[in-house]
Amino acid sequence: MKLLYKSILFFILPLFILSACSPSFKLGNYDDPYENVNRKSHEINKAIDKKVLRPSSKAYSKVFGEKPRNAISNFSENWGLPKDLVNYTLQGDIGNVSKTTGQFLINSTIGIAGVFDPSEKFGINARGTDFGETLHRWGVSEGDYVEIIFLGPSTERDALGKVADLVLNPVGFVLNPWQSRLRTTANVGNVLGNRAALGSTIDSVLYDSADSYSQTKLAYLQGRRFRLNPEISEVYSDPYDEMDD
Amino acid sequence: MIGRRRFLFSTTILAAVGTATFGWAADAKDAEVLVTNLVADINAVISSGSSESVMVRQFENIFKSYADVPTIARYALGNDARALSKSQMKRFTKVYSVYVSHKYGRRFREFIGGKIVVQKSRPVKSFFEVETLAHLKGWEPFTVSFLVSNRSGRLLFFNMFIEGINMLLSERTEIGAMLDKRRGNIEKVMEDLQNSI
Repeated sequence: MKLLYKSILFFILPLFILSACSPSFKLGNYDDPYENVNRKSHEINKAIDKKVLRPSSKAYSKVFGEKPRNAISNFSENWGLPKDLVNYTLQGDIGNVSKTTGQFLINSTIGIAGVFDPSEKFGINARGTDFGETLHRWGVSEGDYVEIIFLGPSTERDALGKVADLVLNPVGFVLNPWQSRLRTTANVGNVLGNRAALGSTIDSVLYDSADSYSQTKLAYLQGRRFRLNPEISEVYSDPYDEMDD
Repeated sequence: MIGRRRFLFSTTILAAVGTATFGWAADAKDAEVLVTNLVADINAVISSGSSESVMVRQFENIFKSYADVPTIARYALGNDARALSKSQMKRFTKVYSVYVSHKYGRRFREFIGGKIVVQKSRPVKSFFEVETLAHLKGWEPFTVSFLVSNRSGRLLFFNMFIEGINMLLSERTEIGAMLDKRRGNIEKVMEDLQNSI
């Protein structure tokens, strides 16, 4: 584990130093230097979705009703909260540290190990975060757009963050093998449940659009930038001006 | 300071343009009322429990009464719009409006069990942004913003952002890709749109 932390530092530190002076991203910029490789990964991801993810998510929601599905997702998300906690701490975001701690404590106890989500009734619903966002807060720019097999759409910074998050979750260190398997199973269930819940939206992007790669890229970059910088308003183009030209 | 000055400047221009062109100037509150009504209609449909085909048709009507469809259709075509004849543009707008309202109607159908609540509005350039929050069971609430303008002669929305994702931009990308596939043949694209409905 020590080695893993060291290697993360080794990879992240240079990135941080390199990009500390440049702006994090440019609104409306969709440059794509890796497009050729990305498009190939996209086709593979689409095939994985079509052959495995989509049919399994349908079977999953048929086998489990809404209530067990929610319980599995709650459980999975609850045990991901310590990872959010580590990230909010690294971001120095005290407000979200306390919110996340509160939610984790309430749901892990009253919510029976996180199967239920009673914290919501107390008005505590912490926003999720990840190491990609931590890097963003530290001033690391998003880098180029990448689509990675299995991981899906991302940016160079956020892909690195996803890998780091696997190691950063302290829960991974304290679980016994049996608990760890339970958590992994619940995580798989959560992924299938999310795929089922967003069914027709994902289907429409992947299977009904003329260029699913471009649609995925646009949606990911805009959604991600919006999530990390809700305070920066979009540079709105005005279609009425454009038509007057 | 700059932000405030720009704000004053744009509202002045807006007022001038509004009075000169239409004899009336809408304000952010008018836009907010429009979106409040729009959202009430959407909420009514998603809580009605109707079948998918009925809902999609209801969304189509909502879209037609609240959205500036010709502007959206024209923007989706981008520069290619210039190559179209008047009659082609008219036919494209017609088929496109059904296509786009079905597409987004199906998406709003996923909001079943949830509701959309208007948050705030503000003037931007020559139009207004009205921010709403969509509450869906099991998800963190997310932002859906509507851009509203009266430059068509009526106060209508012309763009929508779901969690920052720009509908007009997605649509222009999509129609562009469809045109590429058909080597720029708009008649073929119209057939494809018709077939996808």
